[in-house]
Amino acid sequence: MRVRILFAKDPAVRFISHLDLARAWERALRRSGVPLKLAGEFNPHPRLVFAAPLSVGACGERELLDVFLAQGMGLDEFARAVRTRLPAGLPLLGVREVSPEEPALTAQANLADYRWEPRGPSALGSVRQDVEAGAAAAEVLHRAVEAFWAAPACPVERKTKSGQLRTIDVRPLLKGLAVEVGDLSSDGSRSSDGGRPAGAPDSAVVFRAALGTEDAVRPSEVVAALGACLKQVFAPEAGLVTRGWLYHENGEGGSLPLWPPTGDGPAMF
Amino acid sequence: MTDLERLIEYEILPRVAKPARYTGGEWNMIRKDHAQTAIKVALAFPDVYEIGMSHLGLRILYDVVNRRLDALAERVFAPWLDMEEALRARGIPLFTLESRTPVSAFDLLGFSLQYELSYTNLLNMLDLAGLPLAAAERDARHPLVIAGGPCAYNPEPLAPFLDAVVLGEGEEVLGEIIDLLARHKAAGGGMVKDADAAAGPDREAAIDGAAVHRQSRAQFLRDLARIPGVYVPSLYEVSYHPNGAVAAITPVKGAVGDGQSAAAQAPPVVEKRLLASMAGAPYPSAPVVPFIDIVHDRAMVEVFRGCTQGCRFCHAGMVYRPVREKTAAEVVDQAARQVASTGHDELSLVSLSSCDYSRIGPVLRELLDTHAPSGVGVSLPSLRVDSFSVALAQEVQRVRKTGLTFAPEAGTQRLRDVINKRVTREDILGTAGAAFAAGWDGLKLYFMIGLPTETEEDLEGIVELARAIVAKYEEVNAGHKRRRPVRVTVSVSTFVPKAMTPFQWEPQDGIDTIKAKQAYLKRRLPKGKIELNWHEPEASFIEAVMARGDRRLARTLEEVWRLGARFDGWGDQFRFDRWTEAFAKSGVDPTFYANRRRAEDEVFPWDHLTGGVDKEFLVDERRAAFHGQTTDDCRQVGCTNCGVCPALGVAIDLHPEDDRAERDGRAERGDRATVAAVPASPAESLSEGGTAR
Repeated sequence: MRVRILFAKDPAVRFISHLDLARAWERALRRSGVPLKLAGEFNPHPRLVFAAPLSVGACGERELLDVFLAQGMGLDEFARAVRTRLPAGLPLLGVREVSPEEPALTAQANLADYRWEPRGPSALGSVRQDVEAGAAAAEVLHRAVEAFWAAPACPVERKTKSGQLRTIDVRPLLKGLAVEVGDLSSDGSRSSDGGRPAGAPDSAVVFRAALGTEDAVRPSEVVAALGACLKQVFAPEAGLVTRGWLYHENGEGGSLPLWPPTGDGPAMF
Repeated sequence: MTDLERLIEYEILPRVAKPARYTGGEWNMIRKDHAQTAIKVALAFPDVYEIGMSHLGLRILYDVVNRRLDALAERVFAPWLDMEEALRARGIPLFTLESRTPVSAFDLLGFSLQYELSYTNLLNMLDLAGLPLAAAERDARHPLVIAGGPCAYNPEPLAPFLDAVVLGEGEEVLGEIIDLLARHKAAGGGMVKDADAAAGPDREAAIDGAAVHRQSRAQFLRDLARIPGVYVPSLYEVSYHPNGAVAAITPVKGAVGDGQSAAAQAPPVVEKRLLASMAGAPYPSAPVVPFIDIVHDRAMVEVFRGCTQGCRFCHAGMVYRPVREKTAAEVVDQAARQVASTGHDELSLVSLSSCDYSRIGPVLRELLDTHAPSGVGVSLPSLRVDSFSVALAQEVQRVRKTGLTFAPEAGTQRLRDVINKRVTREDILGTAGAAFAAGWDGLKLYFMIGLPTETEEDLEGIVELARAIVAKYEEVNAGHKRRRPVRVTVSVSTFVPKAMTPFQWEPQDGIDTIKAKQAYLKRRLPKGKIELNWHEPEASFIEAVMARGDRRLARTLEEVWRLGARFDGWGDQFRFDRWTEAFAKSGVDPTFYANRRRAEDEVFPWDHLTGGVDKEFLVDERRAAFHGQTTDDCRQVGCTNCGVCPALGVAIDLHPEDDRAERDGRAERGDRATVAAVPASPAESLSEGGTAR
C-alpha cells in the first residue's frame, strides 16, 4: 500500500536538514508501529519518498511524502497512529492512498510556491525591519518587485557543484512574483507564530518557481536578485522562507497542485 | 518573540554551522514550566551537541531529574566557535536548548567531565554564561556549579572553578543535592535572585546584601559537604613540599556544621557514590531523539556497570568497580521500551565490556528475534578477543553489517602481561581467523604506545601481529579466487597514566620519544593493507598533565583559555603553542606532572578522594606488573583484594541464571543471586575504547 502524507515543516524545526527530516519521519513511522515495508537484505530500511528537499532554514506548509506499507490499513487508523508520534513542528495535515502505478513523487513535483518574509534587521540590507519600519519593509519589497519586472535581466551568481561561479538570470525562471501584505499564512495557523515584530504587518514576496531541474531557482537567489534591483544587499537568511503548494506542470502550461485541494481524496485534519 | 529571540532566530542561527545544535525541540524532549518548578538544573556537557547527546550519563541524569515534580533539567552544550563568536558579538548569554533560558538563571549547573581536553570548554561555558570563573567570586545569586564523571576522581586542576564535585554514580546523589537546594531555597537562604532589590538602593545595604549572599553560599557549601560522595574543594587546603610535590590535603578546620567542634569539618576522604545494585536502577525509557546525526545515534541499554578484567592502565576499570549486572529481563524490557519510544533502528548493549555480561548470548538472541523483523539491529560496542565474541558479532549481522574492533593493547605477550591484558597471540590470531572465516575482510585493532617497560621489541610486536593478521586473512581465504583485499586498521593511542590506577606513579613518555615510536610504526607497517592511525602526542601530553595535576594548574587553564584554547580534544582546534605559553605564564613545569616517576609514598593531589580501591592494591598491582605477573578477574577466581567491596559495603552482583520466571512474576526478586564466581567464561575482554574520534 502506498500512502501519501501531507505535512508541514514549521518554523520550530526549520533548521533541520533534509536528511534530518527524513530521519525524523522514519523514526516517527517506526514509533507509530505502522507496518512499514522494508527493503534491502543487509541494512533493511523503509522507503520514504519526499516530493522535494527543503533546505536548512526553510519551512514548508504543504510538503509531501510517500511511504510504503507491507499490508493495507485504514487511512484513519494510519493517521491516528502517526500523528501523535511526530515531533512538534512536523504536523500531519492529511493522508491518502496513491496507486502504486503513479509516477514517483519526485518525478511529479516540478513547480512550487515560495514566500520570503524579511524578519531580521539585516534582511533588507540598509532598510531596517523593526516596528516603525514595518510598513517601510512592504514598500521596499514593492519597489524591488517593480524594479525586478522593469529590468531587462536579473542576474545572480550561483555556485555550481564543482565550486565554480556561474551567472544565471532569475527572471525567466520565475512563473510569478508579487508582494503580499497582511496575514499571509493560507490557513491562519501561523498567525500566532512569533518572529514578526509586534504591530508590524506581514510583508513578503511570493513567487512560483521550478523544482529539481536546470530551471529550478533557489529562494535565496530570488531574494538576492531583488536586492540587486535596488542596489541593496538583501540577506535571504535573515528572512523566513516558506514553501507552499507543490505542483505538477504538464509541459503545456497547465499545472495542478499535487494534493487535490477539493474532492474525495484528501483526509484533512 | 522578543527582540533578543528575533536576533537569535534570524541573525545568528541562520549563519552558524549546524544551527539545529542549538534549537532543541527534539522528540521526547521535556520542557517544564519554570514558574511552577522549584529547582532548575542545567546539565552541561563541555563539547558539541553531537558528542554530548551520545553520552549515556547525560541521558540518565536528564531522566532522573525530570522525573521529579519539583525539579527540571535542561541541556546545554559547548557552542562551536562560530556560535560563540556570534553570542559574544551580540552579548547574548549561553542558553539552554529546552527553553532558551540563560544558564545563569538556573539553580544548579552540572558539568559532565569526560576527558581532560574539555576543561577549557568548561571555563568557556562559565564565561559565556556570564558567571565568574572562580567559585570564590560566586555567591548565592549564581547557580551552584558542580561537576561529575570520570575526571571527577582527580578534579584538582578545576578545583577553584567548581563549587562541588560529585564522585561516582550520579543517580542518587544528584537527587540529594537537589533536596538540599530545595530546603535552602524554601528557607530563604538559597538562591534568592532578587535579594539585591531587597537590599535597596542604599550602597551600604547593597554591600551588606552581597555579604549575605556570600555567607549564604558558604553555609550551603558546608551543608553540601555532608552529603556522602560530594567533594567541596574550597573546604580543603593543600600544602606542598619544596620539591613541588603535595605535602598534605586537609579539610579546613571548623568548616562543616556549627563550627563549634573540631569534628565539624569536611571528611578527610571523600568516597565515591554508587548504586549497590543495578537491578531496579532508574533508567530512561524515553530518551531524547536528536534530529541531527550524533556520534552514537542509537538506543542504548546499559547491561552492567564496572569491570574487573583488571587492565592496569584502565581508569574506568579501577574506578567503576564492582561489577553489577542488570537482570536479563530488565535488559530485554528496557530495550523494548527504548525502541518503541524512540524509533531508533539500532540498539546498543553498552557497558565497559558487554561480552562479559552473564547472559549476553541469550539476551542478544532474544533481542534480535524480537526486533530484527522490524529492521532494528543490535550492536555491541566492545568485543573481547575470542571466538565467542566473533560468534556474537555474527548473530548481530542478521540485521546490520558492522565492523569488528579488537584491542590487544600491546604487541608482545610480555607487555600484555605487564598491563594485565590477559590475551595470548593465539587468542588474537584465532579470533581474527574466526572473523575472516565468518566473512569479514577487515579488522580494527587498538594498541597503546608508551606503556611502562615498553621497548622496541614491543613496537615490533605490533608490526608483527598486524602482519600475522594479514597473513591469516590470506590463509583463510586461500581457496577463494575473487576475495577482496584485506583491510587492517591499527589505531595507536599514547598511554596516559591516570589517577587511581596501578600506573599512577609512572611517567608518560616524552613527546619526542612518542614521536620516535610513532615514526617507527609508520616506517615498519606495510602500507596498503595496513592503515595506521595515531593521536597527536602533544594532546596526549596535556591530557597526562591534567589527569594527575593539582590546583596549581588552574592558573594554567585560565591562561590557556584566555589565549583562546577551545575544543582541545579536536585535532583541528588543539594548538600546543597556546599551552606552552600558558605554562610559562603560570609558572608551571608541565613535565613535572606528565613525565615524572613518583615515589611510592608520594602524596597525590587526589589522595583525599577515593573510588574504593585500596592504594595498597594499586601498589601490589604495579609490582606485579613489573614482575610480569597477571591478576585474574575476581569474577572467575574469587576476591583479589582490591578493597572496593568492603570499603563501600557492596558486592559483585551477577545474574547468570535464567530469570524468565522472575519476569513472569512467578518468583520473588530474592532469586537474584549475588555470587563471587561464575562458571568460566572466556577470560579476556577488549574494549573498543571511548576516545577514538
